[in-house]
Amino acid sequence: MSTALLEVRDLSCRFGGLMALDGVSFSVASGEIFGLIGPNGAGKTTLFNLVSGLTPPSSGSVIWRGAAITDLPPHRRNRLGLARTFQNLRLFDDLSVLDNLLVALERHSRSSSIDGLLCTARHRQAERQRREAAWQLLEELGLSALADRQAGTLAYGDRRRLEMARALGTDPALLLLDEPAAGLNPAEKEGLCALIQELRQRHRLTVMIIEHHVPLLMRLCDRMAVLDFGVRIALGSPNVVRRDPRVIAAYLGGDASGETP
Amino acid sequence: MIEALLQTLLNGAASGGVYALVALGYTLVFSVLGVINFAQGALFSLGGYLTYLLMGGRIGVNGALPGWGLPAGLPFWLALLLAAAGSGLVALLVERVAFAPLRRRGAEPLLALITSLGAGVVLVNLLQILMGAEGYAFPQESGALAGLPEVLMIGGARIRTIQLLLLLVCSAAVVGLSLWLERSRGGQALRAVAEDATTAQLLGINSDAMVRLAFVLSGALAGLGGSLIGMSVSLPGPYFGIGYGLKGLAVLVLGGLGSVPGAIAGGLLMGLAEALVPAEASGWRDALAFAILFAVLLLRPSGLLGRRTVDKV
Repeated sequence: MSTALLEVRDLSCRFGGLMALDGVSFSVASGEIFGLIGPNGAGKTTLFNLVSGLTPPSSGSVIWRGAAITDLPPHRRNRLGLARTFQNLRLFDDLSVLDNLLVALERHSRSSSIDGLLCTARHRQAERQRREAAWQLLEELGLSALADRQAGTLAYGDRRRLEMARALGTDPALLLLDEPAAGLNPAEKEGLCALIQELRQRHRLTVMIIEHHVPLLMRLCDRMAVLDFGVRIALGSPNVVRRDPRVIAAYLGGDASGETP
Repeated sequence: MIEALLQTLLNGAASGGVYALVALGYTLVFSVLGVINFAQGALFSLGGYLTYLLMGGRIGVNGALPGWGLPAGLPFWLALLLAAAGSGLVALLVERVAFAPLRRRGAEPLLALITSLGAGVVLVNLLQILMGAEGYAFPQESGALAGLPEVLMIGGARIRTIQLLLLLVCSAAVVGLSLWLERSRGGQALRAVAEDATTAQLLGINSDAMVRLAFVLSGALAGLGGSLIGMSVSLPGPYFGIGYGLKGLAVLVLGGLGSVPGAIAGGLLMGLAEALVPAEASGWRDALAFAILFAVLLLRPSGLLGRRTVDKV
């Protein structure tokens, strides 16, 4: 845990009178699986939106490999190596499964639009590589049999995996997963756990994951942060976090710590 | 009889092709932003006037610089391409002025209908100030038909060559655009933005750049249409594009909002239907066009090839 890949520093986000995030700081080291938990409305998804660039923070900064990216638009952040999935899945429902991936692989092609129109050798070569990369990802996530299906017609679990495949298609260093286990049955949840670890190995990923299923997260994560009402109330390894009185209070509604954030 | 029918069909297909160009322009912008660019008709006019000037045409007595013109005219084909590019650039300006500020402030998208209409009015009036309200005919010596006979005999039918050229250019533009959208990386990125701009951005696609590209392409299509009509008929005045803009809008709705094949099919259907109105009843042409529109909408409210639902949350 030497170099921080991502750091959020004093991040705040206010929606009108609501303080969705209030001075949150932590850093994520290269290669770790970092969990983000907290009750509903704690600001977890808001934090993802700030990190991926969909929402501007009211104050504070997002730092990527030591440089501030707070003012960069989402597509530039993606090109730096930041990809995410959504809690409510945002696939291109009208495109085929394969095309969903090809869109993500778009910027990795080395041929220009002119090449494309003229169908040059370079274009055909780049196209072939792009398709190979897409098929490889489909294979990896067990979707190759569904390649030609319209994304909107897939079963729920397949849609979740497709969204992950598509995020991986942009070749990220950091993958933000927003409740990837939501709506999955216990067996599928186990499978997902294994899949995330496998993907981390193979793609040398750092993973940041929001999940409500705390036992799953405790097993999966190297470290985690706990948010409650927009404030970071705990940070550390699952074992440390599990015993933190403020976390217990937030989850059980008690007042073990004597102070409410 | 057969010859007359062939002539009629070709005329219909040619004007239908122009309608399809205009409708495709609307479609491109609509699919990425969900709004109609009402400056499209003005860009159509602009294309025609740019081609006229680039071919060496002179400004008339009512223009700001009467008698002025380029020292040398370009051949029609080159002027056509440059005018399309010019209209595309002006469309980019329209986006900057009439659309981008609203989007940046998160304004209600429907407001862009008014701002783009305003941009169109300004454009047409600028044309009128600079070029006057008079009609212009393209110089024939450097025209599309230079070196070609005015009338071709095909299967015993007399066909105006210019109509055939019109149809060919429209087909090339429509096929080229469809292939580009379908096959190229840029086209794929544009379709991704059309489906979900936010997600496209998170996949590394610069959504704003794609929106600008959609405007440039739609302006170029309008400019192309205006130039072709100017060549085949003439430029009857700065407002002539507005009529085509409205017809294109009808075609857009007829084909189905946001559907590329719909815009093409709708354009052809509209053009052919109009051409079948006999010359002595030509005053009924627009009436027929809009009657078809109403009939189709009664049976299929989403248009010929439109999606059943277009509402986005």
